[in-house]
This record gives sequence, structure tokens and C-alpha cells, in this order.
Amino acid sequence: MEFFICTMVCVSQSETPGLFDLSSSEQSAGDRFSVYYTYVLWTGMAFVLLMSGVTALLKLVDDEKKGRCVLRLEEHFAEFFAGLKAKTLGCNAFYIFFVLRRALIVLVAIYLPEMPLFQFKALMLMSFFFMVYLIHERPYEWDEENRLQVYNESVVYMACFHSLLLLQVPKDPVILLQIGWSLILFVVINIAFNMVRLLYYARNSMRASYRVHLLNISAWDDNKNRQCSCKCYHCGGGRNLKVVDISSTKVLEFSITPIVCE
Amino acid sequence: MHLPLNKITYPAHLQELFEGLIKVVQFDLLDQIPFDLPGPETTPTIAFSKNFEGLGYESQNTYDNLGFTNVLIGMLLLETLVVVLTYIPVPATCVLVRKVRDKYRQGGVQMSTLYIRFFL
Repeated sequence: MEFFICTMVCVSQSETPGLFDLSSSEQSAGDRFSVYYTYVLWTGMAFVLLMSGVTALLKLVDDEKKGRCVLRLEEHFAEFFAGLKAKTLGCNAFYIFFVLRRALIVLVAIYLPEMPLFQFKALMLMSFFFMVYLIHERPYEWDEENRLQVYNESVVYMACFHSLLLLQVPKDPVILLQIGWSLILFVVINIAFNMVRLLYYARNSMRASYRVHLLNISAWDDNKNRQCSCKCYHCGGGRNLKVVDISSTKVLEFSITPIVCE
Repeated sequence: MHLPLNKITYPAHLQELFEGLIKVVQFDLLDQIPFDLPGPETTPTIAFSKNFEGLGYESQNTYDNLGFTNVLIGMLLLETLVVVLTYIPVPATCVLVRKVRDKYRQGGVQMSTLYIRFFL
């Protein structure tokens, strides 16, 4: 978002004509650098859009039909699509929608400054269509992530709605204050919810890595199976492997007895 | 977070909330450093609008506006340079250099993802 805003502002040159004009002799070296810098950032963003588009399309082709070069390209960008379903074009094109939406938000803010009503209606529409996309395609593999994104999007929608109300209602300070508090409530609940979720998953991941490293467990899957085979704490051997229920070892209470060969 | 970019005047308490959140989200560490870091000297410009100024976009120069992100871009470019250097042929006797090179090459996939996520 920051890239879009900074580069678009530089190009729009509303207050400083000539800033983006490379042929101007009055331009300082710093300004020239800034312009080239803008070009570099645009190239980077265009590259990301292009690669995500190409990879999204390639994912729909059967693996047998792909050449070695294509497979290598896919391997390079595989992590980019981590967490996303790779079944339909709609799911694969998630990042394209994501980037284009951001670009549109910035374009509306910069090029239509005299039409605030239209600005917020456009934002509401974009948010609405993105919400429909999220509900219809469910692009994330993890269902909880899909639900969370829909929730976040609905908060954006409500924030736009509040802003629209602020523009429309008569300038009565009491009403403005109430609308303001209502929006603050939405924003604060959203931040708190996201923060709690983040801390919850951070705690789970720390717990998992603690179990893996300190208990010498070969594998740990927090979501599926709580029964893992452990290696001997002393010799690290794989003989006489014990299958233990790790959920009952109470790792967080630091009351673990080292697992040894039977 | 970027709603105030649009032409609207929010009530004072809402404005304060947005300003506070922007400070956290922008994570501009350069503001905390008491001295100026070396960089190109740009012509000072006024902000695109008051709304943009309020959100921390105080100039029309891309370099000035990006702030701390410039440092991250610099680090990313440096990393790229190191990756490019790893493709220079190394004699078989330089075991340590070859080891470091192989490690960097293994991280190629992560690098691609890092680039993409950075621009997103």
C-alpha cells in the first residue's frame, strides 16, 4: 500500500509540476534519483503481478504437460501460494485481486479528491465485491483463515459506511461524536480480535517448536495428531520407540520426564 | 487504516485514534534516530493534501515518503548482490567459500518469496 501511495503521489505532481519531468534542467540529482526510484518500484510491483498471474495460470495445467523450466519456476514461487487452495483460477488469482484492489483504493484517493461521496461508495463497493469473492471462492486452505478475512473485510465495509454517514449527516456535534465512537468500537474490537488470534497462534507455534526441540520429537503436528513417536532423550536412538501422548506431558508446566529407551 | 486519505474530516477523537494507529503501523524507526542518515538531497515539497500529511506522507518525493522502507529496500538489494556473487565460479580448493555459496543458493526459493511479500 505504501509503495502505491508514494509512487502515485510522486507521479500525480499536483503541487510541484516538473518533479517527475526528467527533461527539466532545474531538477536536482536527488529528485532525479527519486524518479528513477519510482520506476524501479513500479517494475518490482509489475514483476510481482506478472509472476503471480503466470504462476496462477500455470497451476491449472497438468504437471505431466509442463516442461522442466516451468516446474522450476513453479517451485520458485511455490511458497508464495502457501496457504492458498490451488484448485481454481479464482483461488490462484487471489494476489492479483489483492494488489489491484489496493491500487484502486490509492487511485480513487489521489485522482478523485473532490468527490468524497463517490470515494467512499467506491471503497464500499470494492470491499463488498472482495467479501463476495472471499465467501464464494474461499481461497485459503484453512477455513478459519477464510472466516477471519471475511470478518476483517466486513469491518472495512463498516468503516466505509461510518465515513459515508459522517459525510451525509447534518453537522451536529453530538451525532458526529456518536458515529465516531461507533467506528472506534469497531476498529478496537477488530484490533483486539486479530491480536488475540495472533498471540494464540504464536503460543501454539512456540509450544510445538519447544516440544520438537527439547523432547527430541521427530515430528509434531499440532492440528491433526497428538500422538508422536519420540527418540530416546539420551542416545537419540530410534530403537524401541515409545509412542506417547504429548498432550498429556504438560510441556508448559515444565514437568517433563525425559523419554528414554525402554 | 488508509481511510483518512480520502477527503473527509473525522471528529477529533477518531482523528486521534487514526494518528496513533498510523504511528504504530508505519514503524518508522528513522524518526527515532537523532541524526540524518546519508541519502540523496531532494527538493522539499509540500504534501499532496492535508489528509496525506496527517497519515505521514509529508512530501511528494517517493524517497522522502518511504522513510524506513528505504533501508529495507537497501538491505534487499544488498542481499540480491550477494546472491548474484554466488554465481561467480569458485575453485574447488576454497571449501569454505563454496559452503557459504551453496547455502545461499539453497535459500533461492525463500528469496523469491521474500521479494514478492515485500512488494505486496
